[in-house]
Amino acid sequence: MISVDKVCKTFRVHKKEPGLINSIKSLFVRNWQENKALKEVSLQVNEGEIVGLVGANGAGKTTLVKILSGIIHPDSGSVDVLGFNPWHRKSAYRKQIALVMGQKAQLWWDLPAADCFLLLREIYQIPQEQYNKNLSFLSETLNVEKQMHVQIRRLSLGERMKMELIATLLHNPRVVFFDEPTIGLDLTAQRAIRQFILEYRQAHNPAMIITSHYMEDIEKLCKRIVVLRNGAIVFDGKLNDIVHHFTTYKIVSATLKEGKEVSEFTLPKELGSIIKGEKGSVRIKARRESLAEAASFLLNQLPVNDITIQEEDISTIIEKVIREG
Amino acid sequence: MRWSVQVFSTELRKIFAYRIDFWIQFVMSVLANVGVAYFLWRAIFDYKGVEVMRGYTFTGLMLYYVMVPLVSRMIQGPGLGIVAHEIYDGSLTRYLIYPVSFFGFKYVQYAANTFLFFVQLIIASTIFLLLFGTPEDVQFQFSSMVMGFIAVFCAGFMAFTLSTVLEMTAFWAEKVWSLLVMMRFAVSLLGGGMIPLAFFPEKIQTVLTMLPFVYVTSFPINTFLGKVSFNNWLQGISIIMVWAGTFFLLSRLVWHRGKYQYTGVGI
Repeated sequence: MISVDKVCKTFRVHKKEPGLINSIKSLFVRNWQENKALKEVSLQVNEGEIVGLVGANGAGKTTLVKILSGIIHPDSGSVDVLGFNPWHRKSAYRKQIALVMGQKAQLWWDLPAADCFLLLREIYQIPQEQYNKNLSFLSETLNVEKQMHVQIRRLSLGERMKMELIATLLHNPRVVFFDEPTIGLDLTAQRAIRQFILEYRQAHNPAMIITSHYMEDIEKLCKRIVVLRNGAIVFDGKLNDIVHHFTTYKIVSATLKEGKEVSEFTLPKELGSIIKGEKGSVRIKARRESLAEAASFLLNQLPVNDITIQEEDISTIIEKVIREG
Repeated sequence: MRWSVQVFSTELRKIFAYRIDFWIQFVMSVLANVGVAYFLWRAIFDYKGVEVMRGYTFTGLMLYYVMVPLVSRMIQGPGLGIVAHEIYDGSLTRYLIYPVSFFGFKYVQYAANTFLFFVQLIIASTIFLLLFGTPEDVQFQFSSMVMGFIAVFCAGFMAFTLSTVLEMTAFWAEKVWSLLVMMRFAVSLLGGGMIPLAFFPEKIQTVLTMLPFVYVTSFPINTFLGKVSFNNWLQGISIIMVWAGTFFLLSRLVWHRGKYQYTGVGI
């Protein structure tokens, strides 16, 4: 459904040193800097898949989304979405995609949402029956029926974002790009939007690509993630696989009998390291290959009452991969 | 093409959303223009001691100045730098996603504003005629009305394509406000918005009739007022079409090149 092959994109940006003198200089001479936003990025996304695109600021996530939606042109490589080259911007292509931009309103600020939706019905040539059905499903699911006739600019950020979601999904797109769909929203609104995206996927089975800095978005919505660092893909696989791919440790937590002290407890280096030790409990980072020995060592050395073994927190691993690889 | 009807209607709803701004823009633009012209031309007519100057009576001239801001806005469209700003702040992205033509969308928005300024023109002209009567130098005829509407339509398309070309230079220059202001000033000065074309030396008038500016203000107003003969009107329409064709081709070229420069900032 989505196929990206060795796509590269470089932006040329004006680089200005701080200060008034340098501003005056820039009136005559400008220094330009080339930023390689994407370096030979290749990717395949299938129908019904939700792919999380993660990376630090400037990693190239949004650039990739812009290329896929036909807003900008790649320098090299090829892109195919639903059998179309997005850059050609054929109407037949644009009718089948949607782009939700968390940081940029697409609706008309001076109009109520109901008026904006009427306009979109005509733009996308949505049959009346389908329009009514979709609008009632979307507005009920997102619980914004009462705000339909209020000017967009007078809505809260969360309500506005919900209206943006409705606007982009009214025409039942087969491919949806979400760029930071929950940015700036409170926890309740974030949860509602996540739930809604899952319900929408259940009902329509589109291919979705989501970029977000909120790890919870990724964990809750995506089974597959693509990690970008400095414009290149450093991981593309199942969310659960990232744990095995990038961590060599597991977390072993033990509760001690009668609140025993652990001040004199030490763990051999080859087994792992102590994360936290206090009265009545201890947490260690144990190497995967010597997990059994580490647990056994712990059981022998301390009066253990209860023991649990866990994977390292996924969001911590992803953040580590984004930062260091 | 049902979407264009909806865009037209949506644009009107956007304008009507702010009624105070709507009325102030309408009333004040006419009052300010006529107010300045009234004192200036009253003094000139009194000093010269004549009833008619270059084919205009004082009342006829005032009617001309009532029509200037409205006809000028009818033809030049709603605002200055809207497309340029959309390129600058990345709002253009919206139009690249929707399955409709960007130029088509913008032209329908422009047409909605033109329609509204046309209604304002009818209201303002009717009030003027009821208060002061038809000036002696003005000949309202059905044929001049039809010729005037055709002139407005053609000149509107020309002005739309010209402003599109200028605004799209924002793909490279990012901010082009001063260029657009200069353009509006040139239209006002060389198009007869400040002083009717008849008061310019004849040689200058001949040169100006070959340029696009007079067709934005002076030409359609004088056509409505019955001051343009059919042959001169036909010549004017031909010149408009040549300019419109040139600007249209130029706008396609600039768009084709410019979209490669667009980075969709802000998302």
